[in-house]
Amino acid sequence: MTDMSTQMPQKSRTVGRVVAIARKEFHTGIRSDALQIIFGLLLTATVLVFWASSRSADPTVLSAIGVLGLPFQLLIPVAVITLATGSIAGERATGSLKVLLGLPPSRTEVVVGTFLGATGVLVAGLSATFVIAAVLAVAFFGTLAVGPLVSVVSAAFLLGMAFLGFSVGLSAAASTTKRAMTAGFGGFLGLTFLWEPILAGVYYLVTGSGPSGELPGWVLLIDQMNPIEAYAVVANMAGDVGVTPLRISIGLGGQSAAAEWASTAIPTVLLEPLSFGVLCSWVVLPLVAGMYWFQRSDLT
Amino acid sequence: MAAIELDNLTKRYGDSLAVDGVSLTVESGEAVGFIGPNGAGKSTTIDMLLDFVRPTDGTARVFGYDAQTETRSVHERIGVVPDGYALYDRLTGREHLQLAARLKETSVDVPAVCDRVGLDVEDADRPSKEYSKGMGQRLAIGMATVGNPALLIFDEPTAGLDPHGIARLQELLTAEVDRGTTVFYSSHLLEHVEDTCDRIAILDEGRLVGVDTIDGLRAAVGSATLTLQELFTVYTEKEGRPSVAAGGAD
Repeated sequence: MTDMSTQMPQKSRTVGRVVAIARKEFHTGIRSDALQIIFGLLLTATVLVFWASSRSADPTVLSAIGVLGLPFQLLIPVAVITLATGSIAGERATGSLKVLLGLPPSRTEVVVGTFLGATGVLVAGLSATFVIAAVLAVAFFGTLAVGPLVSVVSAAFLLGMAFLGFSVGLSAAASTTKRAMTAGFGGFLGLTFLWEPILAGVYYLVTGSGPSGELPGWVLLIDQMNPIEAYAVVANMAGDVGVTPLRISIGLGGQSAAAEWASTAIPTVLLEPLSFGVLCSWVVLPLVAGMYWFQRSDLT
Repeated sequence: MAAIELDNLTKRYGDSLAVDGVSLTVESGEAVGFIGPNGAGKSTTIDMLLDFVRPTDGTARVFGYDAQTETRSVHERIGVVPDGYALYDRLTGREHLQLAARLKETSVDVPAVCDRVGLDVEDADRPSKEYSKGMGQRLAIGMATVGNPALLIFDEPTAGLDPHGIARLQELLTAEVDRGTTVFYSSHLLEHVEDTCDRIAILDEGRLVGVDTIDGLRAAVGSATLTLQELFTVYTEKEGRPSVAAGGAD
C-alpha cells in the first residue's frame, strides 16, 4: 500500500477534488432541462426589453439597459433557487451523494465544488445574456454603453451568487429537496414582500411608534441588508440607469436608497461598498451555515 | 494489519438499536461476506464504516484509520458500492469513471474497466439514464475498482445483475482476492457468498450472531453438512420456531 498523502501537498489535492466536483456539477447543471428553459426565458426577456425600449417615445440605450435590470431580478433568483436547492439535497435523495462521498472528497469539498460548479453555470448563462444584450444594443441603438451594461450584468451576477450561496447552503442543510426548495422560494418571497413590513415592526418595537419622516441610520442600514436592495445599488454604479429594487415597499423611505442615505449621518460613499459587502455575505454566510449542518448529518 | 476493525459499533435511532455492539475484524487479504435478514443492520454498519452515518457508540477503523476522524485516509484506500446509491443521469459512463479517477488522483483505462465489469465499451459514451439497472451496477462496480484500492466494500453488489453479471462479479472478486485485495461485502445470494468468501459474518437484529469460516459455522451448530442457506436459517432463527439444526443435523 502506498501512502498517497505524501505525494502532493494537501492544499493542491483539495483543489483538484473540488475542481473535479465543480466540473461534474457544471456538466449536470448545464444539461438540465429546467435550467435551459429558464435561460431561454432570460434571453427572450432580453430581446423583448430591447425591442420594446427601441419603440418607446424616447428610446435610449441607457433606459433599455435600466429596464433589463427588472427581469434579471426575477429570473435569476428563480433560476438559481431552482437549480441549486436541488443540488446536494437532490443528490442525497437519489443516492448519487453516496457515490461521491464513497470516493475521497470530504463533505466540505462536496459543498464547495457544488457551489463552484453552479457558479460556472450562472457565469455561462449571464455571459451569453451579456453578449446578446451588447449585440442588441448596437443593433437597436447603434451604441453600446459598455459601463452601464457591465454594471447591470455584474449586479445580476452578484445577485445570482447571493441566491446561490443561500440555496446551496439550504440544500446542504436540508434532508430533502422539497424542504430546501420550499425554504429557498420562501426566503425569496420573504425578501421581496416581508422585509420592510418586518423592519417596520422592529422599528415599532424599538421606538413605540410607526416609522415616519426621517428614518434613523440603523433602520436604513438594516434595510440595506436585503440583497435585492443591494443589487439595485450595484446595478446603478456606473451611472444611474434607473434600476429599482423589485420588492414590496411600504414606503419606509419612499425614495431611492441614495436619497435616503443622503439624509443620514452615514456617508453616502459607503453605500456602494456596503452593498457589495451585503451581497458577499449572502454568498458566504448561508454556505458556511449549511456546511455546518451537513457535517453533522447522518446520510441515510 | 487488520483491514477493518469494528469495536462495539452501535447505532441507535430513537428507541431502536439498528446496530448493537458489533465487534468484527477483517484481516488484510481476506474476503468476508456479510449476511443477514433485511433490516438486520448490514447497511447501517457499512454506512458507519464509510462515515455516512455516525455511530452512537464504538469505533470503526480501516487500515488503522478511524472512519469518523480520519475519513480521507480511509476513503483513499477503499472502493465502494454503497447501499441505495444512484449514478448521475446526465453523465456518461466514461464521465463517471473519469470523475472517480480524478477524485482518487489516478488515471483510468476506460476500455479495460468496461471489459473487467462486462460493460460494452460503446455504452461508455451514453448517459447513464439510458442504462439498465444491471449496466448501472456494472458501472458502479467499475468506479469502485478505479485506482486498484486495497479494500473493496460492496453493499449488495449483485442487486440488479443478471446471471452473467453475477458470474462476472464473481470472477472480478476472485481476481481481486488473488491480487491480495481485501473484500467485504453484503449479499443475499448465499451461494455466491459461500463460493467467494473466506469467512462469513452473520448479522441479526443488529447483533453479530456468527463470524467464522463455513466449516466453523457448521461446527458451532454441530453439523458438517448444512448449506449456508440452512446455516443462515439456524443462526437467524427466532425462538419458538422449529430449528433446522434440530431436524436437519445428522
